[in-house]
Amino acid sequence: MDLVLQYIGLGVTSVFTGAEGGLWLMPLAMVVVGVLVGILVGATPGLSGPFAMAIALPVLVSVFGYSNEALYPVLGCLVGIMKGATVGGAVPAILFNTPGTPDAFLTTLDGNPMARKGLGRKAIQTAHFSSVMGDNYSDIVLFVAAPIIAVTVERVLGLPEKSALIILSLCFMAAVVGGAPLKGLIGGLLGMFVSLVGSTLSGNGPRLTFGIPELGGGLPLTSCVLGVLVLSEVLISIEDMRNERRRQTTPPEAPEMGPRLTWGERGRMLPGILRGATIGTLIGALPGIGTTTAATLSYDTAKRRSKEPETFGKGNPQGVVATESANSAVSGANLIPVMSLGIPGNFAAVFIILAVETIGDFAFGPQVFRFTPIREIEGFDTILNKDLVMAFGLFTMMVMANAVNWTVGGVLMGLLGYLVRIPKDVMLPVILTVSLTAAYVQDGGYLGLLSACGFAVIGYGLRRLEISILPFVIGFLLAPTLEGLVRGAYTASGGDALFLLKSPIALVMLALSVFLLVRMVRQARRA
Amino acid sequence: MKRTLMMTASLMMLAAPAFAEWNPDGPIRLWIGYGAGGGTDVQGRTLAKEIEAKRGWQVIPENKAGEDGTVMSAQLKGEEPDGQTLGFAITTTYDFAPMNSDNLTPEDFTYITTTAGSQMAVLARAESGWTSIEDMAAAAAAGEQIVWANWGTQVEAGAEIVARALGIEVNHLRTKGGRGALNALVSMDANVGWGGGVQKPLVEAGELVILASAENGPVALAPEQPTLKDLGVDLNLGYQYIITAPAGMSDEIRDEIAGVVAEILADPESETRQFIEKQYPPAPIVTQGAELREQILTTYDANVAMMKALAE
Repeated sequence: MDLVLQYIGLGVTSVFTGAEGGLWLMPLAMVVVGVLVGILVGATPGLSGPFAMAIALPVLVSVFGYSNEALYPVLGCLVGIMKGATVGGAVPAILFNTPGTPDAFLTTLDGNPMARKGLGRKAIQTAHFSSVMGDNYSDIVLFVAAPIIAVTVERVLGLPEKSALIILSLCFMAAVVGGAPLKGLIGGLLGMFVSLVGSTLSGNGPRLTFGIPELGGGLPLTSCVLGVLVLSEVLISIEDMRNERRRQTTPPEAPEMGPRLTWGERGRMLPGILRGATIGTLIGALPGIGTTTAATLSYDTAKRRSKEPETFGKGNPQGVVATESANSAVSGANLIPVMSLGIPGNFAAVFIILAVETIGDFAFGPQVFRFTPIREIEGFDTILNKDLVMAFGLFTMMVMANAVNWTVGGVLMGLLGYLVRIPKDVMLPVILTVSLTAAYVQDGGYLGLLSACGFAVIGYGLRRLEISILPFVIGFLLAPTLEGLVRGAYTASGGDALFLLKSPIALVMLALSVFLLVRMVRQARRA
Repeated sequence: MKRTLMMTASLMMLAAPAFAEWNPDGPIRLWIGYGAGGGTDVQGRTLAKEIEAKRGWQVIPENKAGEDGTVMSAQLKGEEPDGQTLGFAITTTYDFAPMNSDNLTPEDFTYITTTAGSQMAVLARAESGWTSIEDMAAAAAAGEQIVWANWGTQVEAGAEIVARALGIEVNHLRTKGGRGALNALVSMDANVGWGGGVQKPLVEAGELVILASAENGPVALAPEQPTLKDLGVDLNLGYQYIITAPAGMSDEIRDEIAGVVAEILADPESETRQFIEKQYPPAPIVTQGAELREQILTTYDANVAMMKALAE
């Protein structure tokens, strides 16, 4: 226990310590910047947290560089955006009935009626309070669960089991994401396919590079994700704008704000928040399900448990509490599989992983949570697990981001009403320019630019075919890890053809994967 | 140690008159041939920082990992030899890895300078209870499955040579760089592995033990352990960290860059030097210019012969 506290202490202080050992407030400053940007982005319809993270990552890397010292400010800003966006999305949902982020959609159901009744301020403060509480709750679960899961996994899972776990995660994600399950599977497989380009651990040289040596290290990750996620959305928006020009309406005026939320009312919300946050945390810990499902489930549960279910949808604050606490709780819980296993479950997690892989020598995975006894050798060095200090540093920044969300976030949210009025024809060119510049700077000039554009076309195609982008990106990101594990498991078994089927744990996980696949196909047949 | 220092000092003096004769026209890209967090990466980044401090040249390190450094060297080959693009990898990248590639030969590069030598050793987890190669061989003979973590074709061949000499069966696990091999050992995906120097903190923390040295002499962390040669396995897997450029670089640029590096490595206050003294003791190994080129070409021929013998 002493050791755990020692590591937590080191982690907390490491955030505030610069390379030279002096006080360094840059990570804290970047957390604040991140949260503010996140809230603004969240409150702007058409922008979302992952969007801002995709663009921010290359910009941050070009500012702070690739060294270990860059990791804290960059991660701090990304974590801030992630958390700020979950809070900000509620504002336009409540005031104007247009959700700022997709996961705030359910907030419109009760939030907007409240605003129309003249209780706008109350609704926003309810959303803020439940959102931040939900976020804090899931962070606490993350801090406790991630180390425990990681340690267990490292002891129990070998190469075949880890391979099977990734296969199961991918199948699960394909099955639960979006409306049509088979489309999720196709997206995931396509993502895995494009990740085949580049170097493998085969020792036979890079593959599928078309003779371009720059592709030897694989397609540039950040640019590709930027292309498939952000640029494709820009393309779609341009199309929509062109087609909807005739029906352009002026944005509505902000309604009367009304009275503040009292502490007594906050207290009465707590049971609802606890229920919503628990649902959000459970859902968030599973890959691919995401905020919308969590919010829906939480909303339905709250409605069913309520003594007056008929008031839901007509301005019941409990509806806002249920959706906001659940969708915010997802963000912390999503980092549980990321930090303990290296498996991302949503876009925000994808960018946290990308940042970590791009910068410095820290990497997520079970090895992070080894509690190596701290020993000081005179005149030499201190022996400790630096990754663990880093992990606690990241946790510290999450707590800081929550604090900023609590304080500044609440103030800022009251002032955001006008953001919905930023017209898309101003915003899209800005997004486009920043994204393309970011891709150019981050990933070696034209290679980055071309991959971003190529992936924008892929993303456009996927969106138009209504194939969810998430399995594509996660398949793209995880396939190399999976290949490394499968290759390793095969050679380590001495070339046994049944290497994946020898362990009961792997067998169970693979059986579950097959079950999910069969279910997907049957569902698709029925539909 | 004395000899190395003397050599460094004399090289410094040789390089001294060349100061400020060449200056890069913009930032220098330092391409690191291995992934983040390994020995090559940490050394390359520290060195880049110190070159910048010393000369005011802007040096931007970038990881291009894969295939024993050849993902990097294949790109380096096509760049201009104007000193603006340099590669940082290990001698294996040039004196072994090109034999697996149709597009690369040792003649494709200008060899600028080495910086340090490996501390190549056979590692096992402390909790395995093994303290020597014999213990491992005995465990294998008793039926335990041996999985050996390797980061490249050369060291995998090395593991196979050791296994054959001991008369045991070994399964191989390919990892990403030396750091990957350590992770595989710690997370029990493998029970034996190679370590080139990054193993130091883990060995000192008592997590890993060194079973034997794969250098010509014992390794600094375990001076009492025999070398593989002592054990009758004719194998030296030691390598050096090396800075290169595309072929055709002028001697002036080559010597200017080599001079800066030698200067940094000779400075006892230098962070890079201190890192090398700790991780790759006892001191930096600085071989440069024509002598270095000769070393790479000779070792390449020897390695081709070794792989032929292994395949027979």
